[in-house]
Amino acid sequence: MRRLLLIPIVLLLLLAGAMVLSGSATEKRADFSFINRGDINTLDLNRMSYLQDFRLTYGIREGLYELDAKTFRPIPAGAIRFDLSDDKKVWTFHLRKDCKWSNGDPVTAADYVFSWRRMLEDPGEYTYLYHYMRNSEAYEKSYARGEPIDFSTVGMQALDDLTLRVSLENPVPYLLELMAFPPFYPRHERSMAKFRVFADTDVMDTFQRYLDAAQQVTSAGAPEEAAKRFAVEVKAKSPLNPTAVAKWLDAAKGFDAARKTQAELLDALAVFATLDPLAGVKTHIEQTTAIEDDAPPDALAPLVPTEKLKRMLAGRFVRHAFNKAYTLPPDVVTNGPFVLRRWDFKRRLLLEKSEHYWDKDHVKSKSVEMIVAETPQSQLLMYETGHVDWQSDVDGEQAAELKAKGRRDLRVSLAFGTAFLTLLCSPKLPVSLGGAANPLADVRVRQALAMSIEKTFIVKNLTRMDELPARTYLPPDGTLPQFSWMPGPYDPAGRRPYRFEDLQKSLKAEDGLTGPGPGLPYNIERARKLLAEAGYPDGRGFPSLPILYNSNNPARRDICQVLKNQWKQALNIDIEIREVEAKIFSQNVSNKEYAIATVAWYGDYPDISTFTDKYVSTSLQNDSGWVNLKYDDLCAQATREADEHKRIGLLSEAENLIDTEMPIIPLYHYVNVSLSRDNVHGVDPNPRSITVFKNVWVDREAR
Amino acid sequence: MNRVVLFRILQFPLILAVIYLITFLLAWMAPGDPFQNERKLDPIVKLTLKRQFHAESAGSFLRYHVWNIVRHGDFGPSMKYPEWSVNRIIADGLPISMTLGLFAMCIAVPIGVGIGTLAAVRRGGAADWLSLSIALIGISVPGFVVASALLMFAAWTRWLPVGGWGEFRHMYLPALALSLFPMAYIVRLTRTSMLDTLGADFVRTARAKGLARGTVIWKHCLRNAFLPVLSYLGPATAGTMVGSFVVESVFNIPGLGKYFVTSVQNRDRTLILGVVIVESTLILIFNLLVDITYAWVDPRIDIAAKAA
Repeated sequence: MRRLLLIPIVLLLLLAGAMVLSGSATEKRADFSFINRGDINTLDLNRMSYLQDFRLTYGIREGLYELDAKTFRPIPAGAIRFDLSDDKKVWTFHLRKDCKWSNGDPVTAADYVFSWRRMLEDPGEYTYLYHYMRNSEAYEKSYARGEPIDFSTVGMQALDDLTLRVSLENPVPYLLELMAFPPFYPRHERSMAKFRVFADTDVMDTFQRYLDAAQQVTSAGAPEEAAKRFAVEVKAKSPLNPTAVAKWLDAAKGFDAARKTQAELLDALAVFATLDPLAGVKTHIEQTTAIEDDAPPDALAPLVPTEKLKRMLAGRFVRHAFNKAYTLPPDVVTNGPFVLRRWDFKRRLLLEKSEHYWDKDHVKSKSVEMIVAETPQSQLLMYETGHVDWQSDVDGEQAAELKAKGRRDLRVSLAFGTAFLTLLCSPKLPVSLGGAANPLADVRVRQALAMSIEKTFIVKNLTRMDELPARTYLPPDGTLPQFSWMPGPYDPAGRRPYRFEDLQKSLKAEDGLTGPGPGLPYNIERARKLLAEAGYPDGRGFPSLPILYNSNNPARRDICQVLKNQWKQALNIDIEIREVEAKIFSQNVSNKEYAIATVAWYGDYPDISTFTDKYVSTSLQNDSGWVNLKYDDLCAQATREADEHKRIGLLSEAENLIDTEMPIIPLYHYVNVSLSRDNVHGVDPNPRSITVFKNVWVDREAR
Repeated sequence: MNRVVLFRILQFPLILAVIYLITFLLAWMAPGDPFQNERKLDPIVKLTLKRQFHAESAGSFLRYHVWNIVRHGDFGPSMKYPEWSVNRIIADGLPISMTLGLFAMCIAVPIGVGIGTLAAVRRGGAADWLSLSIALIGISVPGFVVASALLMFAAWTRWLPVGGWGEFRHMYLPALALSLFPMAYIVRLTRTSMLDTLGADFVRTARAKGLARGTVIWKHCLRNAFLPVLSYLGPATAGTMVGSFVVESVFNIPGLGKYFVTSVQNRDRTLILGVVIVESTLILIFNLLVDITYAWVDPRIDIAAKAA
């Protein structure tokens, strides 16, 4: 029996051991603590694409411009002013003198160029925004092929430490907005150097071996002697040139590649090359198998190392990636109001006010803590029990419940985003759906589907957060005050365009969707007629198409159900609802393997092009397969247009085409919902969910 | 005996290699792109990412990944959380899940065995009724219902924290939620095998010899009745130690369990492989431990013979 007792004892011992390992330090609460929309995916600027990652980045990094805490418009931060050329294509930014990195180094124009260049060399989801800069797309493509064009031809140049010149392909009126957007923030190259992972290991491993050898050999005595000693140390097969060795020993002394910039590395590599060190070194090719589809081949990798080095020196590049751990404390160096002090994965991130920040007198909290809670239930509980001051996003179902309870700390604003249906417009359905003729290719069918949806019902009964039902793709949330919507085809002629206030008001009105306005109205009679004209009178002969929704978003199942019923009643057509897992959903939609899908789009930066670019026929994001040459032409003209007023005119015509030709059916415009008590300041919800962290504080005495 | 144990340990790498391969094939063939989120990726972006993860083809990935594991014990960075290596994610999450899991087993085993024994001894009595309820709740009520109910209890009474990790009191409710299923199992196993044992000849003999009832039950019967429980304990302990998706999500615990689900959802191939290999290793170790304990608790069992 005593032996049996041992089992609980062993369990207890294991438990004690595991508890020691799992650590249990609790720390003092930060000045301000919050729950982000989800956990941080990455803080690497190249790969960042989620709102919660951008949000935290606003706290720890800063660009040439930042966003004003009230208006959310760009105001000078890293830069103090800019000069703009007459053709509006060359911007010269003058940097603020007292900007410092969190390690005390000054922020220079070269830091911006380094970070921006990385966006082209290690491209991510937002690299396309750089294509506005001259030659940057060509550089990105040629770099991926291993034969980069001359970087000095790319439109990003540091003229001196405090002057940065950006040359554009076309005028970009919203460039300052982009400069305030995290993918355009600077980075500190020297502190990242130790995280470099070289691509051409054959060259770089030998270089490192020569560096190590140089540390072992003294340059004392006759150069011939030193050369001999060095040759022995690196196991050179043939005798080395004494003067070259002397130069190398001189250059390599104390040279730590893990602390050097790429430029310094290249200078050392140039000296290294004179030793002819790579003769006989084998080319290291990691993969020989063919890689899929449209990927360009790598021209550099198969070369012999000596030739490789020659090209690297001529083109002034060393191909490398960064181990993304460079974003982790204590190594990460940032330039924002806060520094990232701790990042306990899946637990919390702790920010502390930066001592080196230029505007530190206006940073209102000493510390900020982001607590990780991923399910809506635990997020809300953390807020309700007072563990956090702010819950940045509230799940739809919970929000509706809290709103029904009349909670005053529930804060709602319109959002710069729209929920819509995307319709496949290509002439044939995808093979996976049978490959038959696609009824949705007919614009009348799309219009009929759009005009027979009662969107107010969805907003009132399903989402329940006073969202605006949508007639247009672009939301009238006020982010773009200059924009106006053209009247739709069923609007009595002679009406003026709609400004965002008018549109908001009319969408809230009783006849907002049936009456005049931009886009298409809710009108079942017309819808039936259109469907009949398209060859499906009373829905006869209309195939049963599937409508996809993402299983991560169960609210959309209800929307699909409503659509199915409404279409059945109005048009007598059948739709089949299909739930698809998130990853497969995004794959199906982006590969155009669907017929109808419930999707959404949020604007990234406050300009119309963030919406309209998506449906240009060549756009990667145009998942509807809608091709409209007039639309393409309008967007292209707008890109070249220097006059802001004319540009908006062109784009509002383009928007009108989407709203009437219906490659998408707008359903409703989103709202942003957050929870914060009255004593929490600086977290007001806004259309683009911007948080200006230096302005955030909690009045602990007010409670 | 030593030779048998050694032999079993030598089998581990082979078993793990097979598990690795199967998992890899499934993860690789599953539709969905680990790098694509909502937006379609530019071909150059996709290529760059694939190169960084050596994932241009299944062969290049396998060669690099297996080599790194064999040589450095390194599973590489997570595809979804590029800052974090799989090793670090496991090193951070596993101790937390292990603590919780072991705590749960510390609750489940004594209570389960205790109630199971009482239920068998007093058939039809209060203890039997209790054993039935535990078994019914533990096995049939889904984990998230139990966890959510406990969470609501905490939120309502405010006696215990509503989630999080760091202090001892954070553990009570999640451990209780986690212990219910193994407890239910153990109760039923103990009860059944105890009933068998109670009817055995040697028990009658012992009682006839004049031994006290308690002594017979707790000393002679339990030791025999415990064996089926013991064989269940191996996989059960390994299973609870790697955490539970449901309990960790509901109580917001930064353990390993949630990755079994989220890594698959994210198609985070490196992380999938990491957690599967960790769990498999634990199961192998605990099964071996159970077999050793078997022989040791019951000298009649010869694991050398069993292995043969």
